[in-house]
Order: sequence, then C-alpha cells, then structure tokens
Amino acid sequence: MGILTNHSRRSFLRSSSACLALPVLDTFAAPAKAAVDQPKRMVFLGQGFGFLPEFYPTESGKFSEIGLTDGMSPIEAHQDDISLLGNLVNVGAYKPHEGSETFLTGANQRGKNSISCDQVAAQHLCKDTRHPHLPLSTKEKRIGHGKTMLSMAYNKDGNSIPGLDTSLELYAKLFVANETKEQLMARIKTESSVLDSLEVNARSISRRIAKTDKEKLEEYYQTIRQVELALKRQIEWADKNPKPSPPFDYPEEVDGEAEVKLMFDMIALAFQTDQTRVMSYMMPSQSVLSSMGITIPAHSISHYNASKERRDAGALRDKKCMELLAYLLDRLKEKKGLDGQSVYDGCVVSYGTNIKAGHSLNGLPLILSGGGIKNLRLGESIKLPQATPLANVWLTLLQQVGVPIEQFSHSNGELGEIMA
Amino acid sequence: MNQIRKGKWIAVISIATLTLGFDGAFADDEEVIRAFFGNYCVKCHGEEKQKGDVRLDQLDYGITDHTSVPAWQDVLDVLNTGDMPPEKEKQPNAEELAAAIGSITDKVASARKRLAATGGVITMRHLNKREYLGSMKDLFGIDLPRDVVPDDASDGFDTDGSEQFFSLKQYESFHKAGKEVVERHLTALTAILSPPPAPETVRYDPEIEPFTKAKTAHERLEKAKAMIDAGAPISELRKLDSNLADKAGIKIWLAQYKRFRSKTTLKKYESWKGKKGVAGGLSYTTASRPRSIYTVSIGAVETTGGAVDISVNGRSVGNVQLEAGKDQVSTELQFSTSLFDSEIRITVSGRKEDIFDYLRLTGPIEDTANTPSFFETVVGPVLRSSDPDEAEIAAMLEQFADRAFRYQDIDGEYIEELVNIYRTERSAGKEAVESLVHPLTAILTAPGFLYINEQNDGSRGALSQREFAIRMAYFLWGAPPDRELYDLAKSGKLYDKAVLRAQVDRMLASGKADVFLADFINQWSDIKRFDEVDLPVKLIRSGFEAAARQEISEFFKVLVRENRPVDNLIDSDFVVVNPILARYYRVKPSPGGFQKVALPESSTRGGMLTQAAFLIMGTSGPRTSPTIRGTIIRDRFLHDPPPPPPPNIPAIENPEGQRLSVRQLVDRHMNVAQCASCHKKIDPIGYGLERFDHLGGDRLAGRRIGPVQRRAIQEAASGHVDGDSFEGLEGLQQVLLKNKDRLARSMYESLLSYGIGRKIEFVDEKDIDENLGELEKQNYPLQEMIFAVIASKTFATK
Repeated sequence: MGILTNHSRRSFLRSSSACLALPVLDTFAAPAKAAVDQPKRMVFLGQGFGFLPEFYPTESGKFSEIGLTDGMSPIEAHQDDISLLGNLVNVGAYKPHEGSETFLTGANQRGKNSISCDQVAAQHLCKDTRHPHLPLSTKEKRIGHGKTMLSMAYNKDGNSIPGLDTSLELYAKLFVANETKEQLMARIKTESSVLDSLEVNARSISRRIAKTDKEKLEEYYQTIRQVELALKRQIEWADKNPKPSPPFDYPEEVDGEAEVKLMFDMIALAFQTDQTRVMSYMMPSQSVLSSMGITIPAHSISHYNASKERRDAGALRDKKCMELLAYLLDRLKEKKGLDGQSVYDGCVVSYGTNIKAGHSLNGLPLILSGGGIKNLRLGESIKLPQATPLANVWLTLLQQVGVPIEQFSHSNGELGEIMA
Repeated sequence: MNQIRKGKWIAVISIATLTLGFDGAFADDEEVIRAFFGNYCVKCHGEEKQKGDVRLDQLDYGITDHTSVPAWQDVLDVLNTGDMPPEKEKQPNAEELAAAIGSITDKVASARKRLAATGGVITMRHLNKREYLGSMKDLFGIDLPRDVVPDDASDGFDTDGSEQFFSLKQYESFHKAGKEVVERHLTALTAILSPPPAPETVRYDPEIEPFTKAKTAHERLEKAKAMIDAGAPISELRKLDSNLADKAGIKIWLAQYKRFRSKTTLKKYESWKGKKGVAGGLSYTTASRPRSIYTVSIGAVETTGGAVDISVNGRSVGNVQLEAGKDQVSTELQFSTSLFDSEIRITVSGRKEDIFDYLRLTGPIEDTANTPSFFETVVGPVLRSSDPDEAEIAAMLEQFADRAFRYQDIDGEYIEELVNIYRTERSAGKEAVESLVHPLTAILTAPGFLYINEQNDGSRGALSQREFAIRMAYFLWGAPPDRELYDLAKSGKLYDKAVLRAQVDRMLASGKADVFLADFINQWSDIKRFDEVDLPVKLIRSGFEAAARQEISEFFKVLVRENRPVDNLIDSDFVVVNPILARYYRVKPSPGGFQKVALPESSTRGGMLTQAAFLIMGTSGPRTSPTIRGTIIRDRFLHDPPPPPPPNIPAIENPEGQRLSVRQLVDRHMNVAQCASCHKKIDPIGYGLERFDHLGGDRLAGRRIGPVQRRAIQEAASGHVDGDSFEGLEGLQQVLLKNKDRLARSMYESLLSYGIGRKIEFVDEKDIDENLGELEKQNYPLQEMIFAVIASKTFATK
C-alpha cells in the first residue's frame, strides 16, 4: 500500500470527525457478540513479607484430605479451587525487603530489571481491550515490596510501570470518562488534522525521491497509520462500548482492608466489563494491619521471634490475607460475563510473596487459582522439586493461556507438576 | 617454558606462511578448499554419494548470488563445530582444517559484502539523535537534554539510513519532545509579555528553618520520653512515633534514646539555639520572573573576607566580595534569569570559617540585552498581537516550517493544512496561543523536518547545491546549514573550490564541529566497548573513567584542527590530557581542562593505541584481552575487519589446576584449528600492547621491576602482523606505520561513509583511490582528508 494510493486514512478520519456532532452511529453501537470461548484473564497479586512458618502445610496432598492450617483456614470455602506451591525459588533475588522488584520478572536483582510476566501476558491477551493492562499499586510506602517500585509491572526495558495507587484512581479509569465526548471528539479532530498535515508533507516529499527512499518513507507512513488506528480505537470505544456507569458511588475515605476489598471489587468488574484482561496488584500491608487494630509495624511482625505479641499479630495477619484472597475469589465467582459464565472461569489468579518467613527467600509461597487453565492442579498443597525456579511457573501459566513463548526470564523448563 | 612457547610460536607462523601467503590475499582459496573437500568430504558428499543430500563438488565457488551463501555457511558451521568429517572417517590435521576454515570464512565474508552492494544507493534517513538535537537548537537556540529522544541503535555509523527503522516509539518521542519545547517556549514568551512587577527587596535569614526543625524534633522526642515514663497507653505513643507501636518497639526505642537519640537531638537543637547565621554557605529558593535582572548581596556575621561564589539554578553567575571582620555586608552582584527561570535557587558557597547572616535579593528589572532565538523572532510578533488573523498565523507557520524543513517541500496546500489545525483548535474554544501548540508541533514531527531527503529519480545523480550544503552541515556540525551556507548554495558558489575550502575550514574551526569530531571518532574507535567495561568504583569516582573516555575525542580534535597526519593515531609525540590523565601517564600536569602536553623522549604514550580508554576496551574481566585489542587494530588500523566469532564454540578456559598467563591462555587458541584459523590474524597483534595492563597502566613504569620480570613482560609483548614479526610496543607501532596506507584508507572510507550515510562499496573504489593517491603525497593530513572527502565526486552524489 503506497502513500500515493492510500486515501482511506484521510477519508476515514474525515467521516468520523464529520459524524462527531451527530448521535451515536448504529454501526458503532452494535453490541459485541457473545464470545463462545471466554477470553483468558490473569491477575497477579503481590503481598510482601511472607507468612509465619506455621502458615505452611507440612505435607503435600489435597486440602480436602490433609486439611488447611489455621493460617489458611479463612479460605476454606475455596479450598478445592486453590493450590499452594512449595519449594519455589526466585533465582537472582537476594533482597528480602525489596523482593517484589523481581517477583514477576525473575531478573537478577544485582543488575537491570527485565519485563514482567504480566506484561508478556498483556501483549498477547489485551489486543482488543480498552486498557492494554492495569497495574495497581498502593499509596502507602512500598513497605516489603521495593523502594523504587511504581507497581509490580516492568516494561521490556526493565523500567517500573507507574501503577494506579488508589482505588479512586482505578474507579476513575474504569467508570469515569476523563474527558467528555465533546472534548474527546475535539481532541481527535485536532489530532486527525495533524495527521493530514503530515501526510500532505510526506506526499510532496515522495514526489521527488527515489523509489527506494519511498520505501523508507513508507515506514514513516506506517507509523502515522498506527497513530491513526489508536485514534480510531478511541472513537470506537467512545461509541461502541462507552465506559460503564459506575455501579456504586465512590465511598469517601477508604483505607486498609476496605481499600483492598474495593480494589478487588473493581478487578472483578474490570474483567467483567472486559476493559482489560491482565492486572497486577502490589498490595498494602501496613494500612491493612492498622485497619485491623494491629499497631505493630508490618516489618516488625515479620521478625516474629522478638515477642509473642508479634507472633500473635502475625497469625492474625496471615488469616486476614487469606480472608481477603477469599473475598476476591468470591467476587470473581459471582460476576457473570456476557456468556453467562463466571469471570472466575476464565481467570488465572496468582497470589504470592517473595519471602517464605522471616528473611528466608527459599520456598516462597505462591497460590494459584481460577478456571482459566483447564488442567491446572487445584485443591492441593503441591511440593515441587527443591529449588524450582519461580520463572518456570510464570512460563507455564503464560504458555497455558496461549502465549507462544519457549522461555521466560531464567526459566529452565515447563512445570508439568502443576498440571493435572 | 620459554623454549616451548617459542616452539609453538614458530609452528603458528609456519601455518600462516604456508596457507595464507599473507597480505590478506587468498590467491588460491579455491584450490585449498577443493583439495580439502577432495581429501575429506566428497567420498560421502560427491558424485557417487550425497549423504544428507549434500554435494560439495558442485558448489558455486564464485558465490554469484544469495542462494549460494547458505550452502557455504552450512559447510563452515559443521567444520567449526567439529561435526564433520565424522569421527570414523579420515581426519584432517589441525593445519589443514585451519586453512580450510580460514579460506571458507573469508570467501563467505567477501561474498556477503559483494552481494550486499547496492551500486552506491544512499538510503534516505531520519535525523539521528545528534542531528535532531542540532536541528532543534537551530530553531530554539537551546540545548535540549540528551535523553529527550532515545539513543540510536545502529551497528555501523549512526548516519547509515539502511540501518535505521522508524517506529511508533520514535514518532512518539519526537512528538513528546517537540510538544514540550513548543509549550515551554510559548508559556515563557507569553509570561514576559505582561509588564514586570515593581522591583522589591527581600531578606532571607538562613538559620530560621533549621532552628525550627531541630527544636521540633527535640521537643517531640522529649515529650515521647515523658509519656513513656508516665506510662501513657501505646495508642497515644503511636501517634508521636510509629516505632512506639508495641512493647518490643518501646524497649528498642528506650535503649536507643539512652544510647544516642537524646544526645543528638539536644546537641542539634542547642547548636541552633540563639545562633545567628550559618557557616560555609546557604541556598535560597524563590519564584522569579524570567529574563530579568536581579541584584544579590549577602551579610556575614563573621568572615575571613574575599570572594564568595554565587550560582543560580546550578550555573555560576559570579562572586561577591567581603571584607574580613564581623558584621560585614558584601558587594552587590547582578545576574540575569533565563527565559525559563520562573523559579531560582541561589546558592552561596563560601569558606567554612564564614558565618553568613542573610541574603538580600532585589528585582526584577527587565532584561533587554538578549539575542532572541529563531522561534522567538518568528512567533513573538503573533503573541504580541491581541487577535492575530489567519493570514498572520499562516505567514508565521510558513516561516517557521520553511527553516525547519531546510527550505524544501513547503507549498500552499501544506500551509493550509497547518492553518487548519490552528482553526480546529480555535473552533474547539481554545485561546490563540494555545492553538499554536499543535500546528508548531506538527512541523517538528513532519517528515520534512525529521528526514534528510535528497531529490532522486532512481539513478545516481548530482546533488543540488542546497542538498550538498545540508549534507555537509550535518556531516561537520550535526546541524543544518547556517545562513551563510544557504546563501552560497543559493547563489551557486559552493562548488567553487576556494569557496568550499574556506567554508570547510570555517566549519571545522567552529565549536559546532566538536560534536562531529567527538561522535565520529568515538564510533570509529568503537567506544561502546569502553562503556561496557566495569571499572573499579575508585576510578569512576576519581573522574578517571570520564577523563579517559573524553581523551579519545580531545586527541582527535587536536589532530584535525592542527591538520596532523593520520599516523599520529599510531604514535604521536604529545598527548591531550587533563590533570587526572597526566598523572596516570606520568607527564607534567598543568591545571585546567584538556590540553596538549608534549611527551618526553622516554614516554611510551602517544597515539591512540596507548590511550587508557583504548587499552581498557581490550579488557576482559581482571586481565587484558589481546584478542579484542588485536581485533580493533586489525579492523580499524589495518582496514581488515576479522569475521565475527562463529557460534557454539566454547570460550577458552584455564585448564584445571593450572594458572596460565594471559599470553599462555590466549595462545591456546592456536591449539584448536577452528580458533586458530582466525585468531592467528588477531591475537599476535594484540600482544604488542601487553606491556599495558587491563586498566591501561604501564607495567614497566613506576615500580621497581626485576630484570627477570621486565624480560617476561617484554617477551609477552612480541607478536606479528600477518607474519611480519615485531618486539614490543615500538615494534608494533613500526609495523603499523609501515602499513599506514591501510590506516589512511580506513579513516578516509570511514569519514566518507559517515558523511554520506551508507557503506562503502566497490563503485567508490576509483574515486577513493584517486583521492588517497593525492593525500599520500602529503602524508595524509586529517584536515586535508576531510576536505578531500567533501570535495570528492562521491560526496556530491546521491
């Protein structure tokens, strides 16, 4: 497709800007057909700080047979839908309190970070969604995660991707248009007039230059085409699938446990309305403890041996973590997608932290759940071979949702053990 | 030990003499290969049998087209990995194998180069980072931060269009950078349209803030202590200090209180209590009016007198004078704020004996002495007009776009499109100034600005004089032509040899050429290798790393500006160093920045080969890498780039239980035929620099070295260039000097390639030969060489 022959861009933009003032066009407003296969969705939760040693089951086997530890007991209603993986190691990690930095990337912490698995998933799963990914974070200091982190997500250059720090920001992203339709259309009109000017200039140049150089100019033109497609996507989203109306008013002051629950509510809603298919959440610790009435700092609790008081607080914290995870699974199960299936059925949930207990990084806990991977072993405490690389889990999950990769980060193979 | 090494050495040389015939010429390549195939391969891969469907007796020995390359590459791969001939078959000896691999490697490499030839087509390119920054400076008069656009990712020179790919990411970064610059300028220029407020004087007392802070900290600590003593509930304590959240926390807190906390906060508080002034220096931040004059003075409680430096937003603006004594008031200093200084941070740096009482600042007064940027000249009048009409806007946009596009491809239709952007913004309710952002940004993201486009109908043809001026300006300045060049091009005088010479001299003398000289020689010497070496932190902190990196370009600037011969790169009787490097090289340091320092007769330094950065490029962990050093020299100084190492061959390693010298380790290449085939042309060159350690230090200088050790170091530095053997650094330099024609060709072709933006091909040979012939008579002076490149037929051809 050459520059001189292609006028579809201009005519498209002309027509789209021409209809801006008109009521929503039917063609744009046609509802999406119910998908036969529910799209795959993934959510990666990072907690930080680990659990008490007694949180972990001592044996492997089905929870329905070996039972849940006291720490895990709040998740009993979902015990057949979760698995806890033992013996994992995040190769290259060595900083206990900065452990979320490489939790999803598997990079060597002594060097430059690399792309996180949620971003790899997003590139594959979120081609047709309003948001290409939504990393969530917390407004409390990055206690237990990593000082410089903006979220758990890292781009391909290994830079931390800014996350949404509060449920309010996520609320705005999901339900509030940041510009009115008039503003959006005015902006698009300006941007398309900019593209027009670029094209006119490109065309005068192409008249004078050699054929080989026209091929080079075509690269530029393809870029302009991509900008234009992005505009088109915005117009389509504005008309075909406007942001859903907020299902609830935003509550005024939210913090701690309530904040996490609100985030979880909206993760389920974001998936239900198909605004994105991949999310990550760097979860708060300190504010949750505060809202529970626990006044010992999160970091102090992780050094549970200093006093019985700390150990008791730790036990309460562990149970709260499981209670909150159960809350998310409840929301995912109750929300129904367009096809009538629950959001949970198309979902892959991973929940973990870089520390096992204290300062020990080996044997970090990872809980998997969701119906998005057909043969995923669920309902079990699975003891993997000693020092299984965490990246093998990420590789396996990515492959299972259809990402065509052979390797992720330091992975050295698929993890057959987590598949039935 | 010595005996053995020497024996092996002779063996290596003999392989080389036998099969290579030296001088890089492989006259009987085909014969060598055919003989090898005949002896070891065709039994299974010939007329009778074609195992694995491979037949070698009918290969295309001329490699006349692309389809023949893979078959040869396959042969090379199985020989390199040792998969062929199979173990049970007759095996070639090491020499035969090395010869065959060497011949095929060269054959494939030269075929690839030949087949990649385009007949001299220059691919249109977009501005690289240097050129983008230079072009923006031409319009806006300011240096943008270097990271506004991403680095160029190119294997060869960053001007090679065939290596470029324009992506959305680039468009977005150009768009973001352009929009920010436009907005910033429009905002700043609009801000100074309003009349300046009446000047006023403020006094800042530096001790107030730290005193308040120390007081609060001290009081809070003591309050917490009192509450703990009184048995206050944890819920109350927590509000004061989050560490007081449980019993264990309180215990730790109390221990710390006793040990140091109470003392340090009290000490700090008391040191500020009743204090007047601060010692050493102070800084004051305040809102300011851009492009205005302010007057600053300081008061001192006590001072030893003298000059006190003042800086504003990080740039030094001069100093104020104080008399020694108590309660002194300094002289006044005037400084100007820039167009973007809407806030200023004034930093006063004195001696630690000085106690400063206050800073007094008076202003703003309008600053009328300014050279406006091109942007300001063009856009300013529109901003001052209360309600500019579209004709005025159109004229302004045309004027701006015309210069941005280097006076090409502006027509009525394009201007109409630009005005349409403005109109669209206006009709959406935006103010006139605001509505200028998008059309101006659109100019800065248009292909007319971003691409260096030269008219062409597909066959090679002459450039117009304007295109020539543009090519030359981006070559020598990394920026568009100035008025003078455009005018000469317009009047058709630029091709007059005397005029052109005067212009090239003027351009090279200008500071604007620094960026060319530095970027070119850095790419030529492959300075990326230096950047990838992890130097000890000590050397980074001391400024050595930065100085060593800069030396390469500072040296080259002197070579070009003094029109010195290219062989100064091999050896020179001077170095260009700053005091840090002067100490490293044991030459007399003189204060200040980089400067030319004559070397004493006894010095080993001089030329690029002995520069710290060049030597450090050839570093592999804690040892030198004669292989890397040899590779760079063969590639750049001998103009014979070695092929890249074949894949799947493991790196040489220390055999278990033995500690080998670098020389012994690298010599192990010679034991493996697959390695030896190339390394015999590389490693022996690198040995010539072995008297310098992995950090570029001279092993023979400075410390007491016994005669045995001295001898060992000298012996390790013997080698050969294609069989021409040498002893030590001086020997290497002599061999290279003998081959300086090759260095001259390397430099000339590199300059030409960088300047025209494509690789050198066979079609260029004649022009290059002629020019080098002329330059040889003068011993290849560098400024002449640059002029010869520009004045060559090739440079004026698209």
